[in-house]
Amino acid sequence: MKTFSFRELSALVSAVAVAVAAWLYFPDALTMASHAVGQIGANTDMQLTDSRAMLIRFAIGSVVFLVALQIMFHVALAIFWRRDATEPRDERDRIVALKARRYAYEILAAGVLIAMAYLFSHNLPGVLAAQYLLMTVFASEFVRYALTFVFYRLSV
Amino acid sequence: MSKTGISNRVRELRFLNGEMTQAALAQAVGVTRQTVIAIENNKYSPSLEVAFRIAEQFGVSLTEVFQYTAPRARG
Repeated sequence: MKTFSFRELSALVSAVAVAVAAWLYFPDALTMASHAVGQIGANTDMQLTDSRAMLIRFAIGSVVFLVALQIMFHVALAIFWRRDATEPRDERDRIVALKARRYAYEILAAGVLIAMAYLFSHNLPGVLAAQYLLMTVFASEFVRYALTFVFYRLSV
Repeated sequence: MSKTGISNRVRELRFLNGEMTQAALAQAVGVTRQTVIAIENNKYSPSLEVAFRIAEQFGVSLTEVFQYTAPRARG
């Protein structure tokens, strides 16, 4: 395990955390969003308001879960890789981060355009639109962390 | 040698300088230990600034630390 550096593992666990959070969040969130806009289930204004409130609570809860997961992973890593964890970032770290961000930005831009085209063509409401856009943010974050890990392994 | 054609003698020079550790060199030139490892394995070519600092640390010229051989063009 020590063949991996702290920053490599940090990127890897972040990618896993984002993937797990997305996997737990989106199936239920998309169902809730569909309820919230009255596409399925809810029929009265009260039910629609409840569904929206539940969706907001679920979204906030998921973000808190993701942050807690990241903190837990990083504390565990910092204990085992204490020396690497305390080193400040250098030029190689910055180049790896910039390269990974470049590809993540392209995923984000493409995802937003695809989501917008889909939303306009299907005339979907704002609550659902937010979910699809959030999905592209998760996808781009996953790509950023995954590529950070890959670039560290391959070096730059 | 790396695909960029740049190789180096950092590992050898460390040992010739009192078996300096990777961590000590990293601290002296202002990079992480992982970057020193990547440089020694020819996986990463440092910036000119860091390259000069490494050479200065060993008290030699830049070309005594880093060598460049142009990669042969593919036919």
